[in-house]
Amino acid sequence: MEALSPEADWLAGLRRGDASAFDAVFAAYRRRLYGYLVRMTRRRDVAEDLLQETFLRLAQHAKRLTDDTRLGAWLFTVAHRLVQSWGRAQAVRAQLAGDLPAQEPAGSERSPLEAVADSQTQLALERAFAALAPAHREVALLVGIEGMQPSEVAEILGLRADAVRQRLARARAQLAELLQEVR
Amino acid sequence: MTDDDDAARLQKLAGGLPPVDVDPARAAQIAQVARRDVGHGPPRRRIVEAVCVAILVGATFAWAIFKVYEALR
Repeated sequence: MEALSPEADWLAGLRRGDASAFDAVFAAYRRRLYGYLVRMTRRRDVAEDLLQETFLRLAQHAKRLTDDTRLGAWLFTVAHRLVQSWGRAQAVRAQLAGDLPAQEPAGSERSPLEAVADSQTQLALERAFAALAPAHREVALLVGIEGMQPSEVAEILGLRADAVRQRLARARAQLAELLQEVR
Repeated sequence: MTDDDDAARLQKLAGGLPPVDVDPARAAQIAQVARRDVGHGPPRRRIVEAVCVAILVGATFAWAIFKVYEALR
């Protein structure tokens, strides 16, 4: 008999309202989602709040998950939508602030992500990823770190696969350019 | 350059990024908050809010139609 994958067990457990299934999913995806969220928002506090909201939605939708739900794609879709909403709220806030100076002046202080970089290479990489446009950074993170296929990323972002491939090529070219500059 | 090349190069680059993780105490807190909702569905407050808004919008719409009808009569 074919053994069930842990994901199938988790889905069944979540539908039953089993907290230990939730804990297993949390342990499996927490770091991956947090990495994505913190690199998209560039703020630890916001990333933590969005991580909590992502898992709250999983808990609340647990009964509606089906056998063919792919948890990774489901969670990243929720996280992507939360990042989008947060980005829109930030844009509105910036517009309301009008000509006020930006909250974070282009100073020399390190971002929380840069602070964890323990080598010049890591620092340069972190800065290069941060310099990408959010739409390109998102694709670069999902493909580069999560190892997702463009078709999977397209599903998560609600885009056509062609658009994802285009963003992927641009992100790679821009990263190469940025990293060339620091060498 | 093909899509596979782009993906492979990105994966190689991203492999050099430092690992990041949420603070363990905050992670435990997040898990505890979310775990409470497992299997309970969306909070009732969200449904009650939606019903209240629907009633309010419906009543306002009906009132507006009534006023237009009254003015035209």
